[in-house]
Amino acid sequence: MRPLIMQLAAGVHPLNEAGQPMPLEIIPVIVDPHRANEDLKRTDNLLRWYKQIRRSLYGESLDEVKGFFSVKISTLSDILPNGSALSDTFLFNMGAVGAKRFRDFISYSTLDSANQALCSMMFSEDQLNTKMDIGFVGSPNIGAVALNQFKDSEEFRQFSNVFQKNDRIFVVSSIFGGTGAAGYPIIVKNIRNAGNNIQINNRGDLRDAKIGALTVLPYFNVQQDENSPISRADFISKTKSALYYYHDNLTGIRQNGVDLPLSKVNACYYLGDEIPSNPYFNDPGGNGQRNDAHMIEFVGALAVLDFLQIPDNQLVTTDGNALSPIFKEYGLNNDKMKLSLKDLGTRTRAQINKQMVKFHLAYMYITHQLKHDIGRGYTEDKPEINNGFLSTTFYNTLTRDFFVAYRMWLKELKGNQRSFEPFNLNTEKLSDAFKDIVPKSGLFKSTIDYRTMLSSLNKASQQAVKIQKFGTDRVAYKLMDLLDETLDDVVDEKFNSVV
Amino acid sequence: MKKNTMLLITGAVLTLLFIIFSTPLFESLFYEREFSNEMYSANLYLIVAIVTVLVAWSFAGIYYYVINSVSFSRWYHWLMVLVTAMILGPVINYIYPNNIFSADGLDFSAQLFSFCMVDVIVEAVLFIIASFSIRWWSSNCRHTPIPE
Repeated sequence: MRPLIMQLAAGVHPLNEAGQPMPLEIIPVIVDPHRANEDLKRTDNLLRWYKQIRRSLYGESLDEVKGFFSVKISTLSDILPNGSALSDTFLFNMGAVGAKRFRDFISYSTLDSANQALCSMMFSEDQLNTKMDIGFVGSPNIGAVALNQFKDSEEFRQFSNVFQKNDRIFVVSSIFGGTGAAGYPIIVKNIRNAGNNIQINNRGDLRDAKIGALTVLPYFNVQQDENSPISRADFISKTKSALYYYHDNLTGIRQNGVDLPLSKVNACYYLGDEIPSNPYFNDPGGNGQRNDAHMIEFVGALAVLDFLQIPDNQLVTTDGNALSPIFKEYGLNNDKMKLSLKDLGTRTRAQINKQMVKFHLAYMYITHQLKHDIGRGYTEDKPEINNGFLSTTFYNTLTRDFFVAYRMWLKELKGNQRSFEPFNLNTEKLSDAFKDIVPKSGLFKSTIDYRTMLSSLNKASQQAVKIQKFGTDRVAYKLMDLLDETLDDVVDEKFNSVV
Repeated sequence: MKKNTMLLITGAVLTLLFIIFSTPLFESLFYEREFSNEMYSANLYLIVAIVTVLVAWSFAGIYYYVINSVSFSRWYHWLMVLVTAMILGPVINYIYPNNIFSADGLDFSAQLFSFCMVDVIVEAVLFIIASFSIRWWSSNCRHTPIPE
């Protein structure tokens, strides 16, 4: 989610068949009983900040196809009619799971001896005593049981009420853990079996929904800790056993020993890296799992965009089976240990590079220069950007929350292995801001700097004032829209190809 | 009609009126019988008025549309151009009439100097009128010296 949020903040949109950006609303539902998980908390924060910023810029409009933060991100309760009982949150409510030990969740003590023996065969004593408020600690066999409540949940019921035939569903999971490895097949199964679930509406549409999924194979390393149930040594074996299961029941269908050319998932994306990351601190419980951002996650976010761009006629589902399932992997342009934007695949570079570069320039301008430009040029055009703007909720959320998280994300990507360093974070000069993207220079060509940007912003604002584009009070939108529009030309004019 | 266009027209009209009524205006600001008679006879009031107008409007035009730079868009940059116009216009308006008078064997240097001190003020006023007439279409300096 984190890299996807950053890509959406940069104004990246999926493209239609004509190559034009499409309007988009995403409803993330995060399934993780480990509420104190640091990565979960900061992802949730990021989503909320994005939502606030987006609302300040575009209100509730669904038709935006251009601009920073133009893709809409909503909670499930946002899109439900008034009076819904769901909380305004991106997190799937797993209260019943988190509060109990697994043994109590399955009412082990009330089982007869035969069933107790069966349970003891399937689950170790440690697993039975696992308190699930820290998740399923890398045990998909626990997750597979606990997550079956999904089909009876209020979220699923409400989701079915608002689901429409043209909506698409995308499931993101890791294959070498507990929650994702178990949750992925259960979620897909419950959607495809919707036809049999009398509690939900739109059963036919759900059953034949267009479903894509990203399965992330092992890519990170954890420090070895004898006291922790998590060990990197288990990742590969868990991956293999999950893949066998998926082959027979999810991404392929095996019946009576025969492999059928069917799948429950329309488009499957696989990602992994043989180069292990820097070893993360092994702390599955409490406030642990604050893992550094990784290049694999950045590429994984691209899978969501790619899925949205597949034409409808390639995602046909009948009776809950995808007719021509698509399987994809990802190839970098260059196999290097230190990557930049120029090392991504060709289509990726064409789709995202320019927007990411523009967003970073906007970040640098707002962070280092905006307060010096207040009182000059475009800031004096109506609606004015004055010192009071620096105290607004929008500005504080953008600069003290979102941009801080953005910078931290970039630092983590750079420091990880393999490293992804699209931007140089140790400079305030725009001309030095990018790795492998060279500013144009020449006899009569000035290099990009903040004066160039101010001049371009002034010109763009002058045109906007003529048509009263920003009304009298859309100050935040004015700033971000002018930056987006101006940087479009500035990037082309001042940099050798960013693609 | 848009406000900015109205201001341009107003500025142009005021400037034209200044040129038309330059003689009574200058004489009301500075009058010394012999000097003023010579200025009138040689039609120098009109020439001085035209030079003052040309300097004011051309300097304003240069600032807002030729220089037109974000590095030179603060109010004190505008003030620098104003001061330059206030010096250059009267200097020209001293040299040219003085040459005319010298060719006729006349010496009005002291009176001319006093007259040019008045012209400094007139130059400043015309520059301000020109600024507020034409700045609205400048991409980088349209809010200089005072935001719109």
